[in-house]
Amino acid sequence: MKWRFPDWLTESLDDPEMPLRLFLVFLLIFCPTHGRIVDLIKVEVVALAAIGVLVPWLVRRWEYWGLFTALFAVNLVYSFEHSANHYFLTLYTCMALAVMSYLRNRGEAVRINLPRALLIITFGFATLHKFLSEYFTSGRLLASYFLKGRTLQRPLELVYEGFPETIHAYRDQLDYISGHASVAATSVPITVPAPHFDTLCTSLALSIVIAELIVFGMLAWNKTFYSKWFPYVLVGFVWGTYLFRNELTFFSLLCILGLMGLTQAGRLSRSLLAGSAALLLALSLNEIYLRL
Amino acid sequence: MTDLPESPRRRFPLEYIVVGVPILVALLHLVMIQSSSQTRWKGGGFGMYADPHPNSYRVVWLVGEDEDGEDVAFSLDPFDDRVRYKRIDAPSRRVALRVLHDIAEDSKNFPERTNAGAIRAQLETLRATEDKDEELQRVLKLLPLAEVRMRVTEISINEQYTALEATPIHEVAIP
Repeated sequence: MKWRFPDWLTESLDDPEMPLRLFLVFLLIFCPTHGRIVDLIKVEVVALAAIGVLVPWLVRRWEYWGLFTALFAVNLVYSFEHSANHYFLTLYTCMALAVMSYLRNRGEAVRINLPRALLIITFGFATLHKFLSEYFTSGRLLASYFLKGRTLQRPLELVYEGFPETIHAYRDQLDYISGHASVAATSVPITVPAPHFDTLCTSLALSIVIAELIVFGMLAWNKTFYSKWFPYVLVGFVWGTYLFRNELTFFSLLCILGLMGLTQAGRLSRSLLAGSAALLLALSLNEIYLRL
Repeated sequence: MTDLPESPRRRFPLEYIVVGVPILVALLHLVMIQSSSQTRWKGGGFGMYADPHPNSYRVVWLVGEDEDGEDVAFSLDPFDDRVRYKRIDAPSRRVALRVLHDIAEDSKNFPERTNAGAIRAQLETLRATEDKDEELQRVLKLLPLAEVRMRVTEISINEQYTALEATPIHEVAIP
């Protein structure tokens, strides 16, 4: 017997405004947990988002999204130094939704798939930065993450004997050179787990750049972007890189933009994207980092 | 995603603003990274995870000379611990430490934008309140001396993977 989605889920997945409501949930969680947003702006954004959940037709109004855009833009002026990249992406998403609503309400066509464009810009510049950073391409950035125990700790413990002690030693040296011992050191020795560790880090770093470049290419090329399997690539990329870095809010927003832009996505892929966004938001709320 | 028939009249291409603004901001960010010590992590350039995170791998120091002419350096990072984990009675001292911590954190991301005068103001506030913290007292003793400087260093693994090295990336005099 062929499995089919239950009706209550189908109705929600097929609703074209479902990504917008999910974005409202994102705003409800992102704003209070983003420490450096001005309190007054936080209150207004959360209140607006809550009203949007309760009054569904608001998400079709360009004025509604324009208000969000204005609030985030004002906060950016006041706290530019504190705004991380997912803050900028949130602002751009609000801007895109305002423009899309405005044009549709006037009966005009939207010439560009704006959520897709934002994904292309994000992936494009992320890849470019990594390519331009010698510290990344030489593998030393990844090495610092591994040696600090931030990611892939358990697999590396299986490969390298004594890896936990290596992590402790690295953290001690980092603490020392950071001045917590009130010593202005300029160089402290560190120990890597094996002679070929640098080769491993460099290979992984280059693999990450290539993977991001491939996803960027898929986003930019119509044939791959509008294929039925690309949503699975996006979900796979998000959870794959989650093993390396716990940017929960940012990944959630990528899934939501994917939902908005991947108009050809079937029910299964839409449920994967929506479910991933919701799960990542839940994890970010509790700051639960699933470390491998 | 063109879902409705296009209007026959010409209209301002609003979509290009939504696409153009992020690209412009990201390009400006790229230029600023090349010309300053600004971090890739903030500024709207989507450069996260291309460089070490400033919170962990950049340190803000107060540097100067003690009474014997010896170089001394104090990291502002421990002040965060003082605010969080130690009971501080005087509200003015608590606020000054918090502001000092925030200035230090911002300086890690945008060293060239450091408000050195604000650092001096917070240190003066701390000096005016009594504090039994020995570390803090040693920092405050730097104030009367001729040159106190704020230095931002970046910690990185060297090319041979044998050491962590701290490299100064920006220094400014405290007025």
